[in-house]
Amino acid sequence: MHRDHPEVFPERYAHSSAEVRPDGRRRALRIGLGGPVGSGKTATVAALCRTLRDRLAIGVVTNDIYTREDAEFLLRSAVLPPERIVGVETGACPHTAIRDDISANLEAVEDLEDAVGPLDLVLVESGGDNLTATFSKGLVDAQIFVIDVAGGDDIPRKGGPGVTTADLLVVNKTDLAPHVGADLDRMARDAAAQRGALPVVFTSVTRGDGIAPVAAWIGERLTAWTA
Amino acid sequence: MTVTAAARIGAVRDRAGGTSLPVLAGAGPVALRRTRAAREGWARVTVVGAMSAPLGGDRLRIDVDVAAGARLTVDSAAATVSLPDLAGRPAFYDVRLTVAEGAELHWLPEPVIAACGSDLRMHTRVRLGAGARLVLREELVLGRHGEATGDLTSRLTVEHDGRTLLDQALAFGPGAAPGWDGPAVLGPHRTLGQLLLVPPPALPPDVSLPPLTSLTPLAGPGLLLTSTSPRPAFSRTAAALTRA
Amino acid sequence: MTDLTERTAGAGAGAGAGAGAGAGAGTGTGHRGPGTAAGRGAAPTAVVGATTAPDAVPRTDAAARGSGVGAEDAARGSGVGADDAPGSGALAALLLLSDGRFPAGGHAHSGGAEAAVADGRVRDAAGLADFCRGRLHTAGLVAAALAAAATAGLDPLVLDDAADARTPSLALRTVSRRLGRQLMRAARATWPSGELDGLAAARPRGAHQPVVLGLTARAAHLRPLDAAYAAAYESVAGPATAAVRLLSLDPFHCAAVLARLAPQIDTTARAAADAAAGALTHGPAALPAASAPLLDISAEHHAAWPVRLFAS
Repeated sequence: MHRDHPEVFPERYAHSSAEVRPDGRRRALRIGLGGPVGSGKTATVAALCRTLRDRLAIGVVTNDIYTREDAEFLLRSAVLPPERIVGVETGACPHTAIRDDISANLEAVEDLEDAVGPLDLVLVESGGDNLTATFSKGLVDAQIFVIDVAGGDDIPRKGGPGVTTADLLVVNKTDLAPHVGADLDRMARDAAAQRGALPVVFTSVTRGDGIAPVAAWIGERLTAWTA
Repeated sequence: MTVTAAARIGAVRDRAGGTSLPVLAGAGPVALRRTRAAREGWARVTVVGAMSAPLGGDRLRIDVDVAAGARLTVDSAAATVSLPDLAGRPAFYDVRLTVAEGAELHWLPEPVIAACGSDLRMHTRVRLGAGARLVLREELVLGRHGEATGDLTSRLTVEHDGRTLLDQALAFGPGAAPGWDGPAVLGPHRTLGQLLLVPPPALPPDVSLPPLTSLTPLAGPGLLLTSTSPRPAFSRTAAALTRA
Repeated sequence: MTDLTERTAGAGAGAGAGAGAGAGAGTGTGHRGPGTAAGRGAAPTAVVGATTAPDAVPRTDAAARGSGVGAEDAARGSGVGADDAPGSGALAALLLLSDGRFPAGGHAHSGGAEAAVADGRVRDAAGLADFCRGRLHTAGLVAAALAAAATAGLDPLVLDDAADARTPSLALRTVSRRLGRQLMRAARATWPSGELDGLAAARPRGAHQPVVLGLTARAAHLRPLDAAYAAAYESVAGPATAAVRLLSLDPFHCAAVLARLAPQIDTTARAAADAAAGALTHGPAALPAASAPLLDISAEHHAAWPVRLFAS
């Protein structure tokens, strides 16, 4: 294995997101997806894979607290070959695995690239969580926070690190807004107040081309990453 | 009165392609009988008699040397019962098995039973040459029927082609480290069976294991069956694997 | 019942340590030669540059470190902390290394507790105490001895093989190597050392965690006994933390379970450090090989579960 040949740099371990792999290639862009249970993180990952897989080599690491559930959902929906999807156990603490002790996720991300060859994009999906979960910068290059209108239109107002600091906020299931009495304008105003210039997408990722704005945002990130 | 005794078995391949036993030396309570082997080309030795009762203070030892190309089975006529010593001294039981390149040994003794108040310390050292084959069974039973267990420790050290393949120490009984009968070590179970196979056999894909049992490849060329299931279930599985 | 056992064992440990302190005081000072003091004194400044030239850090020679284990710590009484020179930072390094929040992956491992809870072997704090006791004196002792031996300067690759031979369960070997690699990542960022780099290069899929732990302790200028403490404590703290999550145990009860185990953690760490000192002379065969059949068997079963919260 080439993982730790003698010339390896200790700082690779300090800065886990070191951009160059030990073999000299630039590693994949890593995007974290977090958000409350049921907001559509896994659906977003599945839709991104379907949209981007013809253009990009993609891998997925899932952190569901019930380890393999999301991985198996992705496998069943056949969005990627099974070897491109790995699960990480989080010891019932999904926050910890993406923020405080990222070592298992780093192993998973690097093993994935080692196993299936060069990747352009690795999506790291957090376990379903609450509003305070964020990804460590040591693990991902950018993060998307997914909430949905059915979870309450006051979520953007409540803020929390996920809503406030995520590089992209996705407000999902907008098609349900009339049914659950969610005020999308209010959500947009609250989000802008919390996030300043950081982008927000209102969409339904499983409807039609609903994933397009998210995929476009990732495309921009990828362009900047490979520039 | 205590006993210090060392018995020896030496097996070599004879010209006819069979196995002969130029060394077959019982000692003290360890009596050895040549018995009929089940398979062509094999020799078989059965440990009989008073061997089945190490007393505190005894130091028993068996050396088995299987030379290149020879094939030997060693079994025993009855379980070995470790009995207490009035002075509270431990008994020692050392087994040294040496299997040369291309030789094969089946070491299949009956269980060792730790009677209440006894203290037996076993050490089995196995040295395997490259390409040697081994089937080794060890069954520990804690206490005779309905009685509390004595102390029983067993260390199994297996060297294969100069590298340590397995080094394992088991310690059960009132003198063992705390927690030995707790949920991490042995729990309420009172038997432990192990079967070591070197090299690992090709298994039928649907090996079914009884509960409380694992079958796991070692880091080197070996396969280890470990079971705290009652004896009949272990014996069936062990027999099936020995044939595999 | 549970408490009684603990106190009995604790009393024995206390008496033993007391006797050792008296007997060892004379020899203990003898082991700490001027070379040792100079080596350690130079360490804090050398560490800064250690990223590129870790070998510039003067080291106590392996034999002295190893043989000093028993006597040295007995002479000092508490026995913890590599260097009591003010400002050496070694005691704080031990706290950092043993902290459950040290980012080396332990939080996702239950040390067999998840399987034990699922089987009904552990249902409450008393069961957890019993589980931890058994694990401490088997897997914990072996891990502590391997770690201490690595800190003492035994060849980590020899120890890695010794760990293989002492870990018949494939599931547990896999976990140990995975955790070893995760710890290696954290260790190289925290206490960069040429020895850690060397082991990482020689075992790219991960060396066994206790070996990495011992080498990390060495890089942090800790002593073999310190590494043994870290490993022994970790062998029970992991399952205890997991049991809090798995059984919704009262965390105060869980902390009390660990506190009552403290005397046995002491005896285990000392026994491990003594064995490591013996292994410097007699080789890795002198290291303990205590085995826990239920941990081995249930680890194999747990690894095959389709859904689980903990990686082991």
